[in-house]
Amino acid sequence: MTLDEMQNVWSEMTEKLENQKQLTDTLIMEMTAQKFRSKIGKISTFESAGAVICFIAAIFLAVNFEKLDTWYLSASGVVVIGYLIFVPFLVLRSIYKMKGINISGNTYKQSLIDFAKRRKHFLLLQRTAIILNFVLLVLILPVSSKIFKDKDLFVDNADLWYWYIPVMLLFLIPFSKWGYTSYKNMTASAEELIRDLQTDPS
Amino acid sequence: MTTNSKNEYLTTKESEFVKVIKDNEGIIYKIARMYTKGSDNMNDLYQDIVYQLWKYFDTFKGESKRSTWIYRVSLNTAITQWRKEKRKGQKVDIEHLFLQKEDDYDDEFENRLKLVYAHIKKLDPVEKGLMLLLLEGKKYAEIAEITGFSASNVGTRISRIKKKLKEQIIKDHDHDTR
Repeated sequence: MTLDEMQNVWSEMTEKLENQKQLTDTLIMEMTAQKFRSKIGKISTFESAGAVICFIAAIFLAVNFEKLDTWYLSASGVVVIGYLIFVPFLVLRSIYKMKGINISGNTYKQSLIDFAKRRKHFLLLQRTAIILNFVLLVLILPVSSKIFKDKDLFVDNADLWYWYIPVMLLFLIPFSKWGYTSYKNMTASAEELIRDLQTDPS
Repeated sequence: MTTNSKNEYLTTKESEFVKVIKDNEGIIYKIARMYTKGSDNMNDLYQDIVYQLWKYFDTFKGESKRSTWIYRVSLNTAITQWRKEKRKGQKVDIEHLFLQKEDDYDDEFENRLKLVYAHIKKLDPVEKGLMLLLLEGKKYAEIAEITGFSASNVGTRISRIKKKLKEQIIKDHDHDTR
């Protein structure tokens, strides 16, 4: 197939579509009545569900915070609650911003730049979250153990740390490495797109 | 206020919108098909574009041509679908509405069309948008107005796209004949 042939096929399709005119008034207006979907669809379901779980966990920890009766358990509790609130909040904010591009006013170029920049920001956030997950997984164990079983793992079961951290790292490192590399590659391609688009002097 | 010219239940704004969509349904179809894989995703994007056009219908100020605005909104909607997730809520069944319903529609044409789309889909988002407008027969000045690139940059980029497509076509041809 040559470029001319592509052009011919395209013109033929345009002509066929022009002759068809399939949409009815009702069908078109039904498509516009999607405000419900649009409102829910503003933020991705997966991230929203994750955020709700994190917020519930944060509230639960806050309610039971008095059980964390040593300075190190309190400090761990503060870090875990902070993580459970701020990380999902920042991720959701980032997604929301990505969806908030001016579809009507922007040119194609501007939308591509805006989208690539916001995507880059989102990916950087995801990369940071991967690293922070390690901290969370270390701290959540003593905090939850104290709240649920009234057991201070730093004192009562110090041996646990010798196997818990290596086992956790064994599972987490390959997964995180894969996730981190994927996000890194996607960020790089977003950066490349921004660079390319910004070379046009217009 | 309602009008009886199109449909007694539609307001004047709705009647005007319906006319705009009917006049440009082919453009929306072509863009929706270009930026998606599979008919389900295409239908979703098609409806999303119609929804966005309706949402921003009042913002069209007539400074540019109506078709320019439609290309802009449609292309912007297509590139900002950041995840190919199943969309929620009300869904209108528009499957099999386009092309295939035509009486003289043949498989041979569909295969050639699939090939055209396959080549274009291999391009990056910037190139895809420019190629679409080129195939639509737009002049560089109009492509510049829709995309926001300068006319000279449009020319440079299109030359590059043509070269890339040519190489791609030759490569595919060599692969098929092997």
